Amino acid sequence: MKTFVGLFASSALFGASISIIYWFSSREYAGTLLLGFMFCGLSFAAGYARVAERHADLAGDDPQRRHSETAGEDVGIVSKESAWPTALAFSILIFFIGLVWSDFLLIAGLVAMLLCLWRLGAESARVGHRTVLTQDGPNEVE
Amino acid sequence: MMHWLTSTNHKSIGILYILTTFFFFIVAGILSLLIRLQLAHPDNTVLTPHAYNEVFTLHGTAMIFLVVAPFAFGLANYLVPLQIGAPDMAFPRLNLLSVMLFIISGFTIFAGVFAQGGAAAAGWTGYAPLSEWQIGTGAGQDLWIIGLILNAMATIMVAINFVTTILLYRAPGMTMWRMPIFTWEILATALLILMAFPSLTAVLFELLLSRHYCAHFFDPQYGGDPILYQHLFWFFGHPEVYVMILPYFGVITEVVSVFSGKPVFGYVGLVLSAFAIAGLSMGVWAHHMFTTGVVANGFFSGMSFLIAVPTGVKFWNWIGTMWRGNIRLTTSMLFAVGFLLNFLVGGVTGVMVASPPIDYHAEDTYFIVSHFHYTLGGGSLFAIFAAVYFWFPKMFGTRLNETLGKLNFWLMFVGFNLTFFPMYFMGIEGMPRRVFTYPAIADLPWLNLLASAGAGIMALAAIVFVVNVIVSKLAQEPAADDPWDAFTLEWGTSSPPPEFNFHALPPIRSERPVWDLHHPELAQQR
Repeated sequence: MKTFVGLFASSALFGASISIIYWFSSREYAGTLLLGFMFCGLSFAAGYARVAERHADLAGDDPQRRHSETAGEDVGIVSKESAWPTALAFSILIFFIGLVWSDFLLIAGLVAMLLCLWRLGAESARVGHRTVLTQDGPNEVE
Repeated sequence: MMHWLTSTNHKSIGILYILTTFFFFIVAGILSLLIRLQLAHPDNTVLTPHAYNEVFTLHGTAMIFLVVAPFAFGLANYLVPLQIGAPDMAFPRLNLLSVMLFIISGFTIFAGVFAQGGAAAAGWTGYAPLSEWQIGTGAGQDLWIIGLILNAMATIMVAINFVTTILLYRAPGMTMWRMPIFTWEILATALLILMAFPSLTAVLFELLLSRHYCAHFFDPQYGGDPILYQHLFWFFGHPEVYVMILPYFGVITEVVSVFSGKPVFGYVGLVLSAFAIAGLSMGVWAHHMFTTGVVANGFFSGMSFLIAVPTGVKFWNWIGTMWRGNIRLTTSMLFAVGFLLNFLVGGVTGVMVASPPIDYHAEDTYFIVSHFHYTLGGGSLFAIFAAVYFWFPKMFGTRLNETLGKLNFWLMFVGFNLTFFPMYFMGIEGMPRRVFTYPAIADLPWLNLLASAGAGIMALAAIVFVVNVIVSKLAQEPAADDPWDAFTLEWGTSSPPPEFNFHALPPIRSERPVWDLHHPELAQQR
């Protein structure tokens, strides 16, 4: 996590530096604003990692950690298949086509998107196939 | 069929990405042959001027948004979880949504061909006001905008997935500083996407609103500004160039290292240079706008020159990796060496046009066309072939035929250079890009004929590749789990890997865990 924070913090610092240099060399609003957004986004990521994840104990961050030490750890649902993402993708297409050519398709697309998102949410809540780390590696349990 | 539409497994999704990009590669290749056929002779009439505009717009859009960048996403989808020892991507269903949006985006863009008024014809950059006015650009342009919005959404989603997976799903012992360089490059690429692609999405929405809801963002008559379009577009557009090359730097690093029989020379330098390139690329967008006369040329020129430094570091590291190595000239390694030579030519001419006085002369000529084809065609495309020959055994359990592979390489290398090297001279002689014909003056006729002949040879190379895939799949020569004596974790599992990637993970105590496993005596000496 230290590497992660360092990476984002140094990138944010770079973003801040070039937005300042850019403003003083160009006095141009659009570019300065875009570089400013970049600084804000990276700062948020660095700050979030620093504050919210400060107690994180990732197995991947420990150079000496063995697989056997993480056996039994539940890494959550690793979905195997779902039709809803594909349905959602088509709903988004219908929505955009409606945005340009048809109010009916616009509303139909929106309704279909909401329906797909609802089903995706329901699917996430269902306790189904979970993946648990064993001594040898990840394995699926019912 | 249902499996491909519903499977959330990262390997299926990776292969779906790759197959789709290959389909669009063939389509874009046919379009490029039409361009070269039209330009083979002065005053040719193979295409009408408007059809020519449509063809080069679709060719550029397809190669950038549907081939070069998404092939890297497909490859990374397949490889990143394997390389870090994860069972899948962090968000498998988001992953499926991404690939479906990507596929739909491609077909939406090409659906314009059947629309009234034809396909989009305002170039892959879709500059406003050309693309903003509905006069002359019909439903095809709208479908192009919708397609690209879907494509941008898919790309942002896949980037979120990569960042989360790489940061949080690494196996025990796989610290960030032990990750393969390919995975590092994908992390840098994903961060670049998250910073750059929102700008594309925003400008496309503005374009759509301007065309259909009288928003006039880019129309000076109503207080809009066409230069704003260029700022927003290139704030995405230049980082996109690095989105299309950083993953392939990772591919080349893996291939060069394995086929030189040596660990990567300057691991930390390679990682830091990737992030330096990503960071600097966010500050060079307006070098595409030097000739507008309203941007800070000094700032953008200086930043563009600076990018050559971390890129040079990478070249230094690749040469250092090969230096005194036990080099095996497999097809994959040949494509990697081809990449180094071509990308060097593209990179050096990039430094030339980073200088505004030279750019004023070269802007919108074939010099620029040649420059970016040397980086993205001679660079990324060669790396794509290097990747296919390298990882095909892992993905499909069979090796590609090496003899046909080498024929594929030499045809591609000769054809590519024959096509694009003459374009530098066409550009110097003032031949403008995006114009459907040219006068029979100076050296233009024979240079163009040479370029068209080269395109034909490249088409032959593509046919040899297809034949190779078919022949190799029919031969079914089984590949070993680690056919190249490679280093990284994906070679420590079966070919192809099981559903959750590993039956047993090897201990991870360096950036070469599989090599450590296969050569314990040498690993202990280190």
